[in-house]
Amino acid sequence: MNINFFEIIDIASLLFLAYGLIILTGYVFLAIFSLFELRDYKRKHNFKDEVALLQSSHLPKISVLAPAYNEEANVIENVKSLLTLDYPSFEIVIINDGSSDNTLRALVSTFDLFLDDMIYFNHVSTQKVRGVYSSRNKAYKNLKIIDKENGGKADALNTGINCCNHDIVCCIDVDCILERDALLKLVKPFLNNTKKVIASGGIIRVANSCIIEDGRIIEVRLPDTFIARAQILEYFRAFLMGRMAWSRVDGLLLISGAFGMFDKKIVIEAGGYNHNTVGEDMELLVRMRRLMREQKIPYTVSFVPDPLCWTEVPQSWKVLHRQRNRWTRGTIETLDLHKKMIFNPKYGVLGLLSTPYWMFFEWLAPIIEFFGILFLIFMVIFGQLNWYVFLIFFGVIYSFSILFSITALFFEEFSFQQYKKPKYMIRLLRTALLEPILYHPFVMWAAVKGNIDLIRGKTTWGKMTRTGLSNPTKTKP
Amino acid sequence: MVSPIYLKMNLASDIHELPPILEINLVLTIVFFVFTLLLISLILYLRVHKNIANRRKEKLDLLLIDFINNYLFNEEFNKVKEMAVFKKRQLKTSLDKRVAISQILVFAENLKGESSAVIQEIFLGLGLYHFLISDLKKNAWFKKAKALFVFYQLNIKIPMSLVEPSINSSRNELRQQAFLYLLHSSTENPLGFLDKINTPLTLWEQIYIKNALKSYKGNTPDFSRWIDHKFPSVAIFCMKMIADYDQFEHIPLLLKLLNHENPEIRQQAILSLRDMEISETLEVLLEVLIDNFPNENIVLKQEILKTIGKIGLEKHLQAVAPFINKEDGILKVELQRLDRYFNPKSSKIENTNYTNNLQSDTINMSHGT
Amino acid sequence: MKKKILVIEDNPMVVKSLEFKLLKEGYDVAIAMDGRSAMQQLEATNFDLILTDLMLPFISGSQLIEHIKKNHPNIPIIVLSTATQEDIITDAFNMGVDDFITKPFSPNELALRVKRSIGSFKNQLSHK
Repeated sequence: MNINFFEIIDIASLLFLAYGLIILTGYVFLAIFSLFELRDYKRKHNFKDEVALLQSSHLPKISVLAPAYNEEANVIENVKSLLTLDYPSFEIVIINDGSSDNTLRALVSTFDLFLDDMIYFNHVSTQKVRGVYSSRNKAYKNLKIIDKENGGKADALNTGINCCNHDIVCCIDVDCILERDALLKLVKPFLNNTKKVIASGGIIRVANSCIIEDGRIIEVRLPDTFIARAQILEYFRAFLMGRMAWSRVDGLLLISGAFGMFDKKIVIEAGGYNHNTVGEDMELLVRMRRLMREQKIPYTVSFVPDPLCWTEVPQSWKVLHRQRNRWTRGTIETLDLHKKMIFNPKYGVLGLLSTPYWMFFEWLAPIIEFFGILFLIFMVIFGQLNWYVFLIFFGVIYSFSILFSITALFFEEFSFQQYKKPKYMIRLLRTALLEPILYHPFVMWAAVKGNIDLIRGKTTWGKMTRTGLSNPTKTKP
Repeated sequence: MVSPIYLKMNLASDIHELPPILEINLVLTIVFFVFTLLLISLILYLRVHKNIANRRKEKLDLLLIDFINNYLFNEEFNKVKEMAVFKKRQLKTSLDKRVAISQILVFAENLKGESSAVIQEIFLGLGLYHFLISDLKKNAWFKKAKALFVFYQLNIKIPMSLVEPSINSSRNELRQQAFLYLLHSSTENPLGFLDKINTPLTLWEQIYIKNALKSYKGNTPDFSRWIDHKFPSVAIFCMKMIADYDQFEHIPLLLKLLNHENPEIRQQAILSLRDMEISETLEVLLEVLIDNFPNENIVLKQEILKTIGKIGLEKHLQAVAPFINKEDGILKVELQRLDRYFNPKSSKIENTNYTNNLQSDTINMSHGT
Repeated sequence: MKKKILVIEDNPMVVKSLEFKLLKEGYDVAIAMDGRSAMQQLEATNFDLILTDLMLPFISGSQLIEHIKKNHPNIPIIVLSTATQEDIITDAFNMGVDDFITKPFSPNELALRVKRSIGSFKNQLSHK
């Protein structure tokens, strides 16, 4: 019996070790690349001299596309805040995706809108457009509202792409808070590059508990709830370490749907957003990159680490579960649609590094972890668990997770340091200690559930109920 | 299920008796924890260091503002003596010097007239010139770039040999600062660096060059000089500038470029000529464009249609309409839009939007195509 | 009695320089670093001149000018701003400001223009 037990342990341990080693190397590389990329970025932006740009008429015009679905509560405030962005020439296109509330009516009356009988070309086919509205008020001449039948986020964005006027589109979530210079910072890679830039993405910051006035972050505060703080750590890891490093090797696969800028022509050529997946943001970028690669046009995708976009993250476990469940399904669907790329040297970094990384780290990791835990429970039940062995294994995993979070915290400190009060840093350290035990198993379960739901054929959107950003102190019970 | 005795027994057992895998794990755990502690100390160190630096900066900023204001506006201020004292007491570290440079830049940015020369005097008096020159001689591109930036912002001349190598640096940022330094310090040929560059101009650089030209005191350069440049980006930039500065004498040249082999240059020629709006050339421009229309690519066709909308008449539209293919839905839409523009009442259509699955039958044009 | 000037500007360097220069010229100077604080000071004190930037935190310069023109129509206003675009300058004059000085500015010239505007204020009063 004992021999048998050690044999199982040995095999499991070896597998575990091999997997752990892959992950470890992956993370070490991420950390190193990201460090270089951040250092370079800081050095490049050592000049505060952007006045010249704001007055330049030679900057490309930008269309900001923001889908709105039942956003009655905040849409007016959000649009007003978008209209005050600092950029010489841009239009705001709000796409009302068949809201069942008064979103459209609120917009029409506040901004004095009229039905604009405009002609445009449907590059991508979409749900029926009921009307396009413009404002009679000169102050809102950059505002356009599209009213269409419900078709989901991807469909709404496609409609926006059809109707908008400019060659660079910036797709955002209507309720995210943009820094005033967000467009300028995000468009810079498009202008200052010898290669063709097809997209640039920004970092997403957590707005929960921050002090917000007139659609601007006045003071950055650390969220009061553990669940939101844990997500801050997650976002640091994902953006400051993950995306930053991927951008260094030009292997970025995902630009967050909440804030990304694209070359409209390439988006159209690639066929626009795919409305058959819940991960439309990732899928689009992968498809665009694939298109460029297959046409052998040199190109790049850029990432801007400045804190430019703030958004509210879920404060309830239920909503978080739905969100992660959806993310998992999006990842799998995208990987499935583009499985041809995985391990395919024809796609360079994308084929040999990015897609395998996404497969192992984003898709398979939670599943493997889940089976690990099942195995553990199995052993406990049969009284075969050697607690000493368990503690050692637990120790190595736990210490590694902490190390990883602390590294991400270090990057934040090294780069933009938004949480300036020392007590915030201490709280984040404490969160880092608790997160692997209290938070991580939950998101892992949500991911596993995503796999199960996908197999069962569930593809509906996880609806996100948000607490109004205008009233940040109010939290959902 | 698990007896405490079993646990104790294991704990007591020697580490060497552990299976190797557990041994590795144990070692790794310790390594991770050590690294974690190291990083935490590093974070704390960075935080404290940044705080100290910030406090020093705030304090020094106030002292500097006071000092510079006195130097600028206070007649009873003993300039020579106070300068020496300030330099000796306040500018000890290189951080101090960088703070001083930034503050001097703020003054230079906001004040002009007689104050500019005094600000320059303060910069030199505090010994910052040599500090930055030594930065320029270093290898770090970002230090070089910043030094060049400061020199041209303050209008300070430095030896050419320190600038020229940076024109073709592999770093965009450094190249840009070198261009701008050369532009600012030039008296006769502000764009002379264009003859020496080995990389195309990015749009970003073009914007900065254009902006710097605005404050250039000498004669506006003749932009046609670089119109045959080996990099199309330079030629395009010059074509934009010809339009911006109304260099009408180059209109014939631009007209010739309407037939250039590079489509990007053809496009810019259209844009520049359109923006200049010289009535005598408009007819020639439209004539060439209508002639070229059938053989142009779709982007240029769109540009030509837009040009007709801006400066042409309905007859010009009719001249190109037959050359729009059925498949080019996007051009059809543009045509439709223009037709409505020329005939605001006659062709009002409800819900006109076209899809790319060739619903071209529904196109309704008043003069028929 | 010394003339009182309210300086509304958010750049600490510019504030200090203006204060320094204007004190030297013999004026009383009050400072507001943002639009809100400017509003409060306007209610509490009578000023002889207002020198303001257009881009300010919380309440923009143009909103502020509108407020002053409505509630204190007699106080002359000088705008000090980076704006180089014609339309912004025209807009300011349309709102009724007395002078527009662009940054970078020459401190001596600014002092002269301040003197001129305060002078015109005296004339206005004597007419009434």
